[in-house]
Amino acid sequence: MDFLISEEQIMLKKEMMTFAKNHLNDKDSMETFSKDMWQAICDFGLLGVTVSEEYGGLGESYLTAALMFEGLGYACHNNGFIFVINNHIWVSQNLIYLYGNKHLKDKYLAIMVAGQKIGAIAITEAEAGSDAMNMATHAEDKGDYYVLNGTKMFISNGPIADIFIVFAVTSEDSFKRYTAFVVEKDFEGFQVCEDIKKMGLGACPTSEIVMDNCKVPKENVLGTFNMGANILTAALEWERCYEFAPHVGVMQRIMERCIEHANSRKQFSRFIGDNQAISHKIADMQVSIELSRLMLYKIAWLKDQGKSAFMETSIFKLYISENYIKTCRDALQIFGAYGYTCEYDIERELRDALACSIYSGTNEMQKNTIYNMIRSRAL
Amino acid sequence: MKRLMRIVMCIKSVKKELVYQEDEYQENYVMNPYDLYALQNIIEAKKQGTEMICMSMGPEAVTDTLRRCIALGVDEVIQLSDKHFAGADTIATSYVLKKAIEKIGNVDLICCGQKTVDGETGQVVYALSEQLNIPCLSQVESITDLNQDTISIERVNGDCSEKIQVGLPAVISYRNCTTIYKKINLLRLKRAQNHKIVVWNMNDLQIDPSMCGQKGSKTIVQSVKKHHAIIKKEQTILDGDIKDTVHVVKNIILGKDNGVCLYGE
Ligand SMILES: Cc1cc2nc3c(=O)[nH]c(=O)nc-3n(C[C@H](O)[C@H](O)[C@H](O)COP(=O)(O)OP(=O)(O)OC[C@H]3O[C@@H](n4cnc5c(N)ncnc54)[C@H](O)[C@@H]3O)c2cc1C
Repeated sequence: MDFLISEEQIMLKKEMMTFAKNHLNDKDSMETFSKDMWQAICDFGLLGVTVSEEYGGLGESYLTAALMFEGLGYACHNNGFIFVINNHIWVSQNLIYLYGNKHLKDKYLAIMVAGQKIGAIAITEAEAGSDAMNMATHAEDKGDYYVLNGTKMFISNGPIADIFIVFAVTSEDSFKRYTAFVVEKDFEGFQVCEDIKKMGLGACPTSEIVMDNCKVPKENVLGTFNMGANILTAALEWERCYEFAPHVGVMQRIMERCIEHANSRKQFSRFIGDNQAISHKIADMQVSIELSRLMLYKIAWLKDQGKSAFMETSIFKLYISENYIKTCRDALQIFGAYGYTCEYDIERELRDALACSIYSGTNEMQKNTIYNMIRSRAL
Repeated sequence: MKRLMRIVMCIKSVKKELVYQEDEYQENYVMNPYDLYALQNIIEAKKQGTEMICMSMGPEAVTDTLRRCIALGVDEVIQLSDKHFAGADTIATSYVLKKAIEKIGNVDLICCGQKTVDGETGQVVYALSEQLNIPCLSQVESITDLNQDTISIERVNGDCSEKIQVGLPAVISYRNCTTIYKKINLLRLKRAQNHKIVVWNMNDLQIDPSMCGQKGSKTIVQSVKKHHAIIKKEQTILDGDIKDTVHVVKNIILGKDNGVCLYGE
């Protein structure tokens, strides 16, 4: 591992934070998707952070992106909105950029980088959650096109997305069972269902999607036909890194609020922070921020070297989500009843945080992955 | 073929701590908040195809600010830099700016912020219009129309709002300020880092050294003192009967009363 953060990278992170602080904190948009904030982030030019300039992106390194997303999490309090951005960039646009043929890139990349079309990913089904590979959605070859049938569940960005990366069964062969398709919301037979209400991340709408004899052109196969499992693995790797990168910044922000409160709130004639029971909670927060940050930079560095980081992203996802939730829960405890009120915004942070031990593969599944990988290495 | 409209915006860099409390930007110098407001508004008001040039008189420190202008959508930036320009007051500064505007040539509109947060004189815009002998519209709230030949603005004059149209060329200054960059764009910011900044010195502008810098100035800054905020005294609103109020005010003036008075006491 060898990374040195340059002046330019620090500058971009600061730009990100200043922009987010001033333009992405509309109080009225915490529970609904804000088109104005979306337009602002598009104009700012973040969406194509790692995409080459040819498609209107910035062509930045993955380490720069990690720094910028950490900054985004720190300065933008709207975790749901960040989730929208992440789903668009890392598991939709990024897959087209890395695995798309020329037709797909020419057709979709520039408009996604500009934010004119929003992306989403559709893997999960009602009967296939952790066991995603047990999906029922399937695609049939009809000569000039494929016909997709099936229902996908809990699709983030579903109600606002235009372009979906859909995984479907295309073969009986257990090693080559799946294919990834780029499906537009306006394709015949494609339907977005009603919003699914969630306990947090309100600014990111979620829905079920239904494909009822949905016609998908042949050129909209992403990557190689029947090799969708590789793309799925890659998608999970990207999302386990970058959807969690902002949490480093969020934890930092929450810790700073806790320090301020612990050093201003007095009980028994002394600051509550002078009690070890409180100060140790804050110390724990700092430890988890530092370790998560290091792991994030390591993964970004690995990706910049073109290396796989599957195990590292599982470890990072598991560690940061457990500690992000713990940080929010401890913050609520430090703030006492004030933290439990809606006014202080700590309860919302906790509600938003709780989802992260489920999405991108539950934390239990991460442990399975980590163990399976170390076992196969050992044997 | 009609030539493109050309707008020149005069920008000043000021010390960061005069503008931002937090360590928000990398640079030690940032754009004067009145200039930032003016620049962002003029960029919005101008029609597509208009050429937009920013210029700033100052040493190396102004280059970061000029790069930010590129990131906001400006086409070209010019740094006016020469050791002879140092110590300039508003007369000497506006003289150098005038010479630069003449060198650029065919300038239709010159735009400034109302004042700078370090100098606080607010005189450069008027001095510039005098030197160039073209009309000056100050206290501009917004531009309602801008075309090749005329500019229409809304301005605030005391309690009144005025709508004025004048022929171009003209000098305008916006009245408001901001510290928030509305439309910064990352790609443009990245490109701005490599943008070659045009630098003009005294010889480029054919300026007589006696007309610029300290030598060309009519005033000299002898010292700068840190100004402490005035601590406000306790205040009382007198809203009773006029006779009683007059009586209370009289007592305050005569020093018989500290001004904190309770009616009926
Ligand atoms: C906010 C949010 C956004 C989401 N966005 C998307 C999206 O955009 N696209 C998409 O496709 N999906 C999305 N999902 C779905 C997500 O990927 C699944 O919820 C997740 O994979 C878990 O599946 P499940 O909810 O069906 O839980 P289940 O698989 O039913 O699991 C229930 C419990 O059983 C445990 N469990 C199951 N199997 C095992 C095992 N073998 N060993 C140990 N424990 C096990 C799990 O860990 C969990 O605790 C989203 C989910 C959430 C909460």
